[in-house]
Amino acid sequence: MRALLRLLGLLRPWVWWMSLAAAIGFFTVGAGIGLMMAGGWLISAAALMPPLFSLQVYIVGVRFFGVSRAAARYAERLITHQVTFEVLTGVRVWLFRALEPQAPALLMDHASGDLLGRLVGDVEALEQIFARAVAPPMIFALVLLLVTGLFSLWDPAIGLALAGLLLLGGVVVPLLTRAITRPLGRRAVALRAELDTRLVDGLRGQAELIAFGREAEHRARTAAVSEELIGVQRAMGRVEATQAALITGLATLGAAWSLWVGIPQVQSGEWQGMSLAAVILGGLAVYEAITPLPGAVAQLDRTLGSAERVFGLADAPPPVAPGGAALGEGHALEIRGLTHRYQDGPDVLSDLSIHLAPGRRVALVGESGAGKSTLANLLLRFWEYGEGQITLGGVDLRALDPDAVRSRFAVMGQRTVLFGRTVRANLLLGRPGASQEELEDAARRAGALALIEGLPQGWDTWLSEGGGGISGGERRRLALARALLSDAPIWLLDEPLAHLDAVTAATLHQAVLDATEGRSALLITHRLIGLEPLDEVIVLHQGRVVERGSPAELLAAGGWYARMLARQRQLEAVEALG
Amino acid sequence: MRHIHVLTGVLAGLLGAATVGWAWVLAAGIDRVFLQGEGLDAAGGWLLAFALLGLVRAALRYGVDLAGEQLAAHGRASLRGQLLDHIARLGPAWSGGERAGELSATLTEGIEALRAYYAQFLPQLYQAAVIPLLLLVVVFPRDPYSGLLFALTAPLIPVFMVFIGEHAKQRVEAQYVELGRMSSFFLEVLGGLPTLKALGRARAQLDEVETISRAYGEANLKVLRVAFVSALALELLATLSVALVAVSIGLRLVSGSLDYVDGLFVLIVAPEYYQPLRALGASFHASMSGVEAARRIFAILETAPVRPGEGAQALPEGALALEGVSYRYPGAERPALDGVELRVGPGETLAIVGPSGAGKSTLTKLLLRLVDPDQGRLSLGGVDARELPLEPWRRRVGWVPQEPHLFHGTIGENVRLGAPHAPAAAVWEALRRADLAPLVEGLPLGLQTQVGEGGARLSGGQAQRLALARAFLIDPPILVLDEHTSSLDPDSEDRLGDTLAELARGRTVILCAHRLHTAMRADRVAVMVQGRVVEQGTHQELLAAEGVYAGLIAASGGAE
Repeated sequence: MRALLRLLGLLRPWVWWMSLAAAIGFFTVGAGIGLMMAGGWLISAAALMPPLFSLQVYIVGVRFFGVSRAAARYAERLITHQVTFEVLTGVRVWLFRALEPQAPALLMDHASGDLLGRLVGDVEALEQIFARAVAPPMIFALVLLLVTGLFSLWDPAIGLALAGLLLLGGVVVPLLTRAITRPLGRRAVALRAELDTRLVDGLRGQAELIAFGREAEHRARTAAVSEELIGVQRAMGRVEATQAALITGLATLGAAWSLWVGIPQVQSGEWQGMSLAAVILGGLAVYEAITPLPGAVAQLDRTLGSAERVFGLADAPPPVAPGGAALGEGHALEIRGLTHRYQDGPDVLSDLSIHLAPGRRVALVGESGAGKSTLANLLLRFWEYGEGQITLGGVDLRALDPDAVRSRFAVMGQRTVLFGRTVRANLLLGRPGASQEELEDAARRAGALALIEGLPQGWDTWLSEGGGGISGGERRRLALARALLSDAPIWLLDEPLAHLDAVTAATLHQAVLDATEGRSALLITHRLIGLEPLDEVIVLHQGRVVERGSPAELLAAGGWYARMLARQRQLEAVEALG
Repeated sequence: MRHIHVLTGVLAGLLGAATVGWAWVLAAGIDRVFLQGEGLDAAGGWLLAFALLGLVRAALRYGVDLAGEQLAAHGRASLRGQLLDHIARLGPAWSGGERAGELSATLTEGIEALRAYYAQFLPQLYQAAVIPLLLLVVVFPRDPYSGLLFALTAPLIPVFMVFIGEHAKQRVEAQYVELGRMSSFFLEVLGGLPTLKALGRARAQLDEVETISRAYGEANLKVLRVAFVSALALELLATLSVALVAVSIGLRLVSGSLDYVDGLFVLIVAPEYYQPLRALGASFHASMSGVEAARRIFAILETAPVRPGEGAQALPEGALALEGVSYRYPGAERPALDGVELRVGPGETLAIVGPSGAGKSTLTKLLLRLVDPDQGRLSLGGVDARELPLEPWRRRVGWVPQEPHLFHGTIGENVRLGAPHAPAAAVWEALRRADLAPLVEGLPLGLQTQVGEGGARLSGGQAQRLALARAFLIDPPILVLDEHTSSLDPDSEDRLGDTLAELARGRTVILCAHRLHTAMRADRVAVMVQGRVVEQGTHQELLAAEGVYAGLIAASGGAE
């Protein structure tokens, strides 16, 4: 209920537009009733063979409602779409503003991996709220008032009965059937998920199923889940069919009741005889307002669930509190005794110290899951760190504004995203307002200039999410160029070569080394080949430093670094045969 | 299936007939009260008939909807079944890799999209075909003028639907694509927030989100304004026809050329006449994605399966050999395997070394009999594999894939893949030999721990160990091993090497190695490059030959 109120609060800026759309929607239904009523009147009056001019008012009524209903339908669609877009924009801006402070902590390494996927569904459900959940009840309420008032002009018994039938078909029954359809719906969602998992299992694991002789069995079990899902969907279909049939039945019931009440009145002369056809035909046209209501109930359920989740996210306290101290002049980065864990988990970093004086380049290596990437997230203030101290230019990170801290880092990582915009726009994110010369210079240094100029539309080529003819290695070069443009004093490179083939990795590695020449750099990587030019290599194992020293020292020591390097060279030698 | 189609058609016809009767009873009743002055005492009979016919209409509407639902259920169940069977026939050589994602989308969303087509469009189609025709037949003799108007306007609705609809549809669809792009822009910005924050550009995106949303909304409305004209035309056609019918009936009633009861009847059925046609238009769009899905589904069903040949001979003992084997994937430019000659004697371990793309995984598919060679033959004990039955072959040949697929389920179920009824003790023994027992023992639920989301996430090395446990459990005489590509840390790598060596003992093993290390332990080594075996022999022989293999050993800093 609180979620509902808050959701409606979000919609407040568009209350007039929504009212207008609902009013026109109401008029459309009303014109339908008017058309049938006027038609009934017209022919009943005509049956008494009056002079033609006396029919004029009915003829005008019929024509007016016929034309205006079509026009109103058109206007309703237009305005509803307008409002939907307004709401969509508003909800997005609100959501973005609410989630922005949370975002990295929310979206990365979260316990439930599919947070973003769920957010997509939630945003879509919120965007549909007006057209599918708010407008139909508003229209219904107006029609209900109209019907009660209009038909009570003849007899309150008819007006109230029709209103009762509308309430029964439009409110009572959908709410009652909700008790049946909700568990069915939940079951259907669960079965869909199970079916999807089984199907994907069967496809991705097909070779194994065949090799281990389990394929037919797996297929039979998948088919069984499919059957069960279809069974549940059929049960839901039966409920929908019942509702549609019920509305058909209600219409007859209302007409029969109106006749029962009306016939004696006609006979007694209380009503003009020609009213009877008008009341009956008009009464048959009122049920149009009910049709979208069962859908609205279901949509509202979905939307409220989404709203609760989104509000929950938006209300969470921000992961880091901004401090107000001024950034120091220097940019020496000093990490002392840093220990960090997520919630109740084990330490992912323990007692880590790194001294990154200006111009010094340090590699942080170790098996995946050793806590290396956590350090990048802590340095960028995506998370608050636990014990220990991190200072930048001599000032504790906690005392600084997170945005100011980030401005000191040039970041490139495996999670670094290129956006669905032009190449130019993507690079300009690194330095808004950069000149063409600056862009070209950065691209040249990242080894991406020839690539960009070779694209079909050059700098204005649109990068699509799916890749759009640009390989993984090329995307990394663009990200490198963007980081170069940001011209920050400290480079933070988080697995910049992950998931690249050996040859691409080797050339990109060189470009990274060239780009960071003479700068401070922290290189987080599991690739040990080519680290020789760096000042220090730190080997982490389960969050602890197990080896550190210059590459030459570590090689001579013959420890983890030396043995791992030998193996990676072997792998690379074999790959180089291709 | 066919009888449900017929049933739907019959029910639609009955619904039409019930509507005619219902409307006629109503018209006649009003006529008797209004023009003939009858009262409630005389109305009992027809009021009851009217109410009953109304109930019959409701029941028939329920029947038509239910039949549609039945059609949809049958359609989906049978298509999904056919697709699953057919994809099984096509085999992993066809369905694996990048195609898997698209295929699973077709099997899930694609099949579900058919529901709209079967459950909504088809029943509407039957109703639209039957009910208006029936009403026309009844209306014509009573009021030819209105009948003519009905007959002339009805075809206009489908024509409008096709003519304006087709044009508008394209524009609307283009807009929906745009809308999709818009949504993905927003979601991409949300997903890319870490990057944007690191670049210090996060808050600047707020304006952009608003500007783009707004600009898109405006541009979209311009197009929709046009598209909605088609809806306007349809609505206008239906409502204006009713208005025209009403006015013309009125005028003819005044001139006395038409009976009131006929006129009223026509006016009551007029909305019922247009309703199925308009509903057809509405469900037409909903069914479009179903039609699109059906296109993809039938394309898959029409793909000819390639099955490995199979005979009925008993499986012989002896050496496993590839004799001049070549294989080219359908549509591929160059062969994945090109004249490969390999022989592994019983109990021998053969390591195959080569870069990714050299043909090692194709070799695996051949050995598992997922595909047959284009040229040459695979033989066991001198007998062509195509003469041997598949099931016993696959029981004989075990497989540890490079990136094993972990099935949704528990660790225990995953280890039992090849032996579903193996006792827990055997599973633990297999886990122990695969060096995975300590990890599983440390989990609170042990063998019952779910794998993947919401359960234990296994690293690449651990997943490979689980695949090893699968192999230990079924204990096959011949084993095909694909070594994991990514680099583990040296200690785990050494331990994995030991496990592999233990697994190989007493078995015939073909080991696709990425590490020279692993290869060095094998009895013999074959080096593959671009689908060809460039040299083979023992480690010492190859070193002495000073060829590719010796070069590799030298390049990677000696044999450690």
